Amino acid sequence: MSEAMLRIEGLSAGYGPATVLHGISFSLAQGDSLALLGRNGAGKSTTIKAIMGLVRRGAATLSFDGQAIGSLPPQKIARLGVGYVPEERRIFAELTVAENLEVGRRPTRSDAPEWPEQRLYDLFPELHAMRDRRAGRMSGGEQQMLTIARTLAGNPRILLLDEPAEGLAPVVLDRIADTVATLRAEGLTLLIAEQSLGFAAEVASRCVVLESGQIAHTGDMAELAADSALRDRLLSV
Amino acid sequence: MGFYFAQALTGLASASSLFLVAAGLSLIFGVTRVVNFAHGSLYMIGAYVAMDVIGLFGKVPGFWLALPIAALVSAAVGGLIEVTVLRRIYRAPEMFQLVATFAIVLIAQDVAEWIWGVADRFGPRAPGLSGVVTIFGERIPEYDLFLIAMGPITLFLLWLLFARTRFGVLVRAATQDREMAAALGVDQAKLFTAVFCLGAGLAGLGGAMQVPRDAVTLTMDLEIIAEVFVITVVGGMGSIPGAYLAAILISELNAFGILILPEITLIVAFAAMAVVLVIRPYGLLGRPPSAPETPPGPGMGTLRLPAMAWGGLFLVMALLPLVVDQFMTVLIIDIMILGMFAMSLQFLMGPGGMVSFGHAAYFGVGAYGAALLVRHLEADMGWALAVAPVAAAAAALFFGWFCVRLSGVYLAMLTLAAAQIVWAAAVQMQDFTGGDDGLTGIWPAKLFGDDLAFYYLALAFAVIAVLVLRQATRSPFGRALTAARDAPLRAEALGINVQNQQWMAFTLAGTVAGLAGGLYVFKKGSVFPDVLAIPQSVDALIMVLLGGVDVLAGALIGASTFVVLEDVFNQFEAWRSMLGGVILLIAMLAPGGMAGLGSMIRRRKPA
Ligand SMILES: Nc1ncnc2c1ncn2[C@@H]1O[C@H](COP(=O)(O)OP(=O)(O)OP(=O)(O)O)[C@@H](O)[C@H]1O
Ligand SMILES: [Mg+2]
Repeated sequence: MSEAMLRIEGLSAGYGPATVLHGISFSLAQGDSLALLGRNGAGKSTTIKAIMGLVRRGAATLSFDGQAIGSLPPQKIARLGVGYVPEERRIFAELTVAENLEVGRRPTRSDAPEWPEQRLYDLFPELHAMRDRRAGRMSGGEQQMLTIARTLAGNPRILLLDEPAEGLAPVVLDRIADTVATLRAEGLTLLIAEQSLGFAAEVASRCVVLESGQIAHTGDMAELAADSALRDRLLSV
Repeated sequence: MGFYFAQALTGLASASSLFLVAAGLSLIFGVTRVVNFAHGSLYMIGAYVAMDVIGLFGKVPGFWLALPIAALVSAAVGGLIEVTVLRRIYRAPEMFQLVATFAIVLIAQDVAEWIWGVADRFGPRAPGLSGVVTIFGERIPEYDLFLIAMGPITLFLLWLLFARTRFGVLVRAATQDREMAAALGVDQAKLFTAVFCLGAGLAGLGGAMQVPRDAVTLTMDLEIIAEVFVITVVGGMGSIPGAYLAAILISELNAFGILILPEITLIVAFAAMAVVLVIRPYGLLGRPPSAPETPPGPGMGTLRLPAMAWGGLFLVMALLPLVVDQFMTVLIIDIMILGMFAMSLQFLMGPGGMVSFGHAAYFGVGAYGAALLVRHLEADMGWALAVAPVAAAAAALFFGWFCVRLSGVYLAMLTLAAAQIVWAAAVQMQDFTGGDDGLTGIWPAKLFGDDLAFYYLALAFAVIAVLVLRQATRSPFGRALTAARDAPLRAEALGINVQNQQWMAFTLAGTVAGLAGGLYVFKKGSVFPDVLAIPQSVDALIMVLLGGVDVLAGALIGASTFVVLEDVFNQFEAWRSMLGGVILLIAMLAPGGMAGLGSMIRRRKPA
């Protein structure tokens, strides 16, 4: 247990007076890849936001690399090497593509893969062609690439991806899935939220299924993919 | 021809300093979403520091050292303000931020008076630029040409900073989505402090640049702030090129307006602002806010005092004069008058969801309406008191039409500009209003000449005000109003004409304020332009803040606290700072006001 990179124990979180997560626990070791599954409104985004310090959190044990992050503000958590790719993408629409990447840029670190600008453009060549375009004037798929690239520019040690496949055309989706697979192969630790199996099934080795803000199932990704009865019970709408 | 050219250049020269100050205000607003009332204070500090530097080093090189030093000192003071005060209130509702920055204005006035004294100061001409050049046969001061050049130069440097540096990129990112920037590791706290310093430095530079043209006085802080508000709103909040365009537009209108309407140049500026805002509600180069503005606080306007409690309160009030002395009786009359004023603002802000920075306009129009009737038509008190709310209603109907087209800070700043117009009219229409000398000798009818009788008159008016405002809040009109406040789009979809409802609410609030103003004249026996000035508007905001914006009764609690505090603090020389300090404490510690304090403590417990 001590080698866990991200450890979450008894996490409760919510918005204003409403509590939507009730005591969630799981952990990821370095190089792990975990799918966070659950239906609409199950609490996946809230879990990720709670890790980032973007929503109100209860007194949980949240640690990253042995350091308590439960009461740190988002920018400190990000600076420890936690990269967040939000569901709504939240690109800076008024800034150019290159400027968006600049916002995400952080100093390189010895314990994480480095992402100099050129490498980001190699990963997503279309971004290079549009580097001076305002980000607001890009298609949804291009924006999704930009969001991922922007977060990678911070040279993160772990990537929290919130429904990266949502609303994407199949071709783009394949690109993103390939990219994520590449990142995983490089040893980046991944936490991917998905509503159904999606491409998380291809990338993740373990899964956590949420239901109404609680953990309904924890296990092997391949097992869940193979067991259609279990899948129906946990994920069908 | 030559004359008009010269006039145009004068306008451009005045635009520069205004632009610097407005750019600073706009920049700070763009990033932190705080409308910084204390920006005028930073401008004033810049001017005084420049005078000191010139005094210390002589005209040469003093003047040229003065510009950067003034900018640096103002930037440092701005940084101090940001770290000690603003940082704690970024999440508070607009009203709190505004009132807190106004508290800083009060403190800055005392400190400035303490350091620099009350006497006006006159700066030297700028060395090397004290001559004139002749263009088209007109003599143009060289310093004006320097000022004219400073505008575009500053604009260009700011553009470089924001377009070409990492700092600029981060600031623009944080302006659009603070939370996302933070999630990417951007340290907003440092960024905000830096932006605040930059904006404050620009204000200080603007103040120093004015030294060769205008006297340096202790009132220059509030004098410039109204004009700067107009410019930032016309240009578009957060847009620096917009601030430049608007500064030129307004300055040119002033330069030429003075030829047509020498008396009331502010009216020209307001008219320009009204036209621009009706055509482009977010200013020349502004954009509508991307995220819907955060709704007021939770539970706004939901707390209610039951009718029984009101009945009890008024019963106690009716019996009070029997047990308290005359001094207290008079004090309570003040409380009731200001309480009505504050309640009308509470109605506007709570159920109406509209924050006004210029509510004194309607209180003052009521006061002047009554006083003018007595002075010029020799009307008796009854008529004067009947006309006061009607006059205020007419003014609110007129200005409200423009104001309700906007929302949030835009609306608030427009109300402030409206109040400044009325104030300027009262000051400048000497023959009619008595100008700065005001109207005196407006005494109540014999029947109410006695304090006790006046007390019951005021109480009767207060009961009427409470009944009207309470009924308005509970009626279908009030429910439509709160629906429009909480979810404007949904309300529109339900067939509620949001603007119309808000217009009516604005007018009603103005009417009640006018009623209070009418009483006020007869209580004081006189009226001066002060009743229309910014501090009077802010007083009402402070009372609502003290009492909490949730409840009508809060305004009464706020008014009582305010009157008592003022009475106590007035005995001290530094009363403004003391009042400012109390306001800051409340804004930082109890953003729900005193009436909200209870519910806040209750809410805190389970967490
Ligand atoms: N900003 C918010 N304010 C209040 N409640 C919210 C907010 N965001 C989410 N919720 C509530 O929290 C619960 C969990 O939402 P969350 O977004 O975490 O779900 P999710 O699993 O990510 O769903 P989806 O698959 O639709 O993205 C839902 O009931 C939702 O209504
Ligand atoms: Mg989600």
